[in-house]
Amino acid sequence: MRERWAKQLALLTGVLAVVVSLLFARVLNPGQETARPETAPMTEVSAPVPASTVVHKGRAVFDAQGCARCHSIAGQGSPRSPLDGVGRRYSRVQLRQWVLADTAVRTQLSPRAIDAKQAYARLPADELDALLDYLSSLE
Amino acid sequence: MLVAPAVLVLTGERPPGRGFAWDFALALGYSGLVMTVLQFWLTARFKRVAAPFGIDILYYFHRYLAMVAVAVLGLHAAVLWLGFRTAVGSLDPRSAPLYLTLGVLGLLGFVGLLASSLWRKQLRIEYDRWRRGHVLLAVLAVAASLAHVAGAGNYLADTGGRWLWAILAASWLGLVLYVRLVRPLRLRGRPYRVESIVPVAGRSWTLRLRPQSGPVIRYRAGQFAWLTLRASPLALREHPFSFSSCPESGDAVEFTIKELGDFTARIGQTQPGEIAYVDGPYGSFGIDHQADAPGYVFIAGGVGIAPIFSLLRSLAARGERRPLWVFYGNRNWDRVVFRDELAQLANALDLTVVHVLGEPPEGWAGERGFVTSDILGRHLPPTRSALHYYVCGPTPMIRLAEQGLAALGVPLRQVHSELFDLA
Repeated sequence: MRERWAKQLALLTGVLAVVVSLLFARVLNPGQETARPETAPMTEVSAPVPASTVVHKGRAVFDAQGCARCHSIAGQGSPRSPLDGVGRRYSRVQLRQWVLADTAVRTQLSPRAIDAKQAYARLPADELDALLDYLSSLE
Repeated sequence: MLVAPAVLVLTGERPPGRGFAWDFALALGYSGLVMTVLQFWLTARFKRVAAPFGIDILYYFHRYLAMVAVAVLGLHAAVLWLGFRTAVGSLDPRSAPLYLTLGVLGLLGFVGLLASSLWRKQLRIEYDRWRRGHVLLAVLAVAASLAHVAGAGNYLADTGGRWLWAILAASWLGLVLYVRLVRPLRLRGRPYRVESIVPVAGRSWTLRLRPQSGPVIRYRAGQFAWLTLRASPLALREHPFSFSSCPESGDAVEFTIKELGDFTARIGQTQPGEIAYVDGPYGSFGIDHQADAPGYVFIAGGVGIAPIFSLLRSLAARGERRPLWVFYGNRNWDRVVFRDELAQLANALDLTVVHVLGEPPEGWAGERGFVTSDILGRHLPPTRSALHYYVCGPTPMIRLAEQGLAALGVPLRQVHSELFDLA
């Protein structure tokens, strides 16, 4: 009898958690009727693959460094900070500042992001250049 | 507690939406982890938390909430894995960031905790070993998960969420230290000594303990305590037992314990003079909340008689005049604990004792089988729906008795049971 109450209360807690999570997501994403996960979740690389070999290499650096854990391109990767159109919005110099968490942009980054970007300062110059080429190509 | 993280993020400097599925998955993760922290509060044995419900039911809730929390955390991981595979990246701990590995380990830890608890007997894990493993794994899994959230850093960077998370983590750590360190150390300062250990029928023993100094703990008849023998209170080798003694008399406490598995199998080897620790009292089983009832009915199975015996002794000590009934189920006559004592109490009280035997001896004229509505109906007066009922025994027996009483038209709010097959 009381055991059943315990079971029902636990279930209710679970339902509450799901409802609160749904509401939370709804409030943060007004106007979006349905969930919008990655369009092709099963494929690992489906972002537009650039033609140029240098840009191609840049994409390889992007993948190898796990940039998709914080950034998405064409819906692939973490929706936290989408990179679509960064090539249009930022100059190559600015892109470099963002990638390396330069003091010029530091105030706009979270401590965690600054921390994560420390490793990119140690990238070989050709890889960093290729990455910047790739980012510049994102129109 | 469950809603607070979401409310805080929404009322603070609201972060931009990152897609419905993403935000939903992360909110699930927060909720699930808050539930796991709540689990530590549920099992911390704070009497004020437990009092309104009864601590036995709190442990049932703990068990069901664990299933719910694992489901919610599993959903969190599933939505991210299925919907955002690229963002999650490789799970290989050699290449994955630490926070991701910690999250995976935390989830595996929770699944392991649930599986080892639900199927402890099938997996043949001894109770003491399970208990220590359970506490250790729970602490590690929650620590890993809290670090996972701090490392992943969603919503925490730019809102008061960071503070909320720090407070949650600190209060959890404080709770763990209090329950596992401070309280056992305090208990160690109040040792008891085994005064006697006496065999009673049915492979059961009555253990009598006296405080080494100072007064005996104050308890009400029907309550129980966690007992530690031959170990430090820090060692997590404690087991719950009902008091069988009368709280109104004496400067010692008694527990009547049946030799079953693990710890209790060796209870008869206890020697007078050994040190014991008594953490209690706990539980809300007893008649004090129904002091105005016109009479009381007790239904016991096997050694479930212990708290009921305590209640009867207490009633006798108070000079109770109202009518009382005991329905007492056992397999056979030799196993009936307190058989003679109950007969003596029947002289001092207006008490009817109905023995129900599963395998009665030849020539047995009494009731046989289980305590069913037929048997209850045969012995209870027509005014039975006004009486209060107290049931203690194995879980199937409790269910059967509850069904029997419902069939007799007894309102369920007048039926009080002590569930104690937690392991």
